[in-house]
Amino acid sequence: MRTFYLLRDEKANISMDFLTAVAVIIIAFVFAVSVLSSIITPYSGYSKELYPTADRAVTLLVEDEGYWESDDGEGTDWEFKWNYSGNYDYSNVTKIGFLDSKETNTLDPGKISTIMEDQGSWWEYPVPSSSNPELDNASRAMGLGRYNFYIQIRPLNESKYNVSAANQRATEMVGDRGDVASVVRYSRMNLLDLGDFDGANLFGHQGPFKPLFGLDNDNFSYILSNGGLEFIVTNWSIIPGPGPSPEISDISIGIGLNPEHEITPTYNLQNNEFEIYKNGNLTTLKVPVLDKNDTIKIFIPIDSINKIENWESADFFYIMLDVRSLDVSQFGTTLFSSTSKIERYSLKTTVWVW
Amino acid sequence: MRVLLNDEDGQAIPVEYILIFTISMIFLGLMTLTFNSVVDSSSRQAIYIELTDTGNLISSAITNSYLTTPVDGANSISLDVPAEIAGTGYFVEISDDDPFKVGNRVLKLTSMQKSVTAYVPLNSVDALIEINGSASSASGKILIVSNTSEITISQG
Repeated sequence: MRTFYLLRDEKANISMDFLTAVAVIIIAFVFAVSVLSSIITPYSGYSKELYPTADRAVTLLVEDEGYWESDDGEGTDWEFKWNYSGNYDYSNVTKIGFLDSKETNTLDPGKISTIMEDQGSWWEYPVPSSSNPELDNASRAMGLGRYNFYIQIRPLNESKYNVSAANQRATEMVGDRGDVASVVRYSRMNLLDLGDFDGANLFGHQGPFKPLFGLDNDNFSYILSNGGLEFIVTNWSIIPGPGPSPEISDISIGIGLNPEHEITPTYNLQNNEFEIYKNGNLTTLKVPVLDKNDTIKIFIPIDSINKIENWESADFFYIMLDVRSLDVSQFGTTLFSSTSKIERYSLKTTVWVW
Repeated sequence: MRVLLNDEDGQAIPVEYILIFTISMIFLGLMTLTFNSVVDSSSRQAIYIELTDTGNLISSAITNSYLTTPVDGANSISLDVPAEIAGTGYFVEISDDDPFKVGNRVLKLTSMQKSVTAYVPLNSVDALIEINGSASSASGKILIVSNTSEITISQG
């Protein structure tokens, strides 16, 4: 029995066991408490901002016309400034939007096709072939600058496209990620479908006869969405008699007309700048039209149309055929809108952001 | 050598008291500091998340305001926002400090006391229309006024 233990015991050194235990407890405590904070508040905030960001981005995409701005001017027809004529200068497009106009409240197929890849009645972006400069500018102009994203536009009518292919692509592009927000918007799109022209009822220059075709500015998106302008003429009106053999000898394009309804200034397309089919067979000028039922299909790709400077700002884009012994029934312009019909699509736009 | 190993007489008892007291104080101090740092860190994290949420609320309201602005006239939205986040007020401003490096303006929210700042993208609305203004959260309302050429945010 020791008395005055606290006062007299001079064996005062602290046990190494005690020191070790205290050290272990302190380290464990500090570690536990520091980990505790990340358990209590595990979110960095990034995952929480994905949905509202995707929501705003897709809202602006389908409810705004977009915008471009440069020293030359400004406007909402950004589709003509995006990589215009293959110059890879995307910087003038400050905002990408697919709305045709706020009056019609429908999506513009030309704007969609300008940036999105047409996979057969459904569209996607980006695709593996999208270049980095294009993707960077698209991200910026869509308001998704700091995010990864994938966009699909599909018809609501599933019979109009390959659903499994679209689903497969979405799975490939988005994958099995943790933090992904997807937002869907529904909208409508009017797609112009050009009908065939009746050769017996063509307008153009008379004496000599030159059928003249005109696409009005409101329908220029057709050129963008189809990569050019394609039309078919059948039921030709062949002028009987001992004159020259009926044929199409030349094709010219332009955006201005003189009072006689001839294109001025005119650009004569070379054989490698267009495609002409007679009864389904690709051929070259000059193309004889010996039978009134000969079907002539002409496709002018957008690269050839781009030979006409500022065509996108013109009121009309004209195509004139130089013909021999083929009749033009009336003086004037054969308007594409006279044969076209509008196909109405209901679309679903989905944006995935991560 | 024997002395070195077997001598258990360390120091005087007062010294032991001092040592134990000191170790206890260090232990207590460490716990206090750690606790404070955890509370502070959690608080800053919570503020950041709430600022991000509030910023997204305002940014979405700006987008809606832009999209619904009449051709002739102005749009005015009075937005309810929290007056305080984690017990402290905050400022909202349209800023050129673009941390996302994409060349667009952003919504910047700064907590008044904790110096927590959250940036929320405007999703390129600033490319379509001029956006300006700043507001404090004091009143719990933010006013967003838009016309065809400008959107302004201010305290409601």
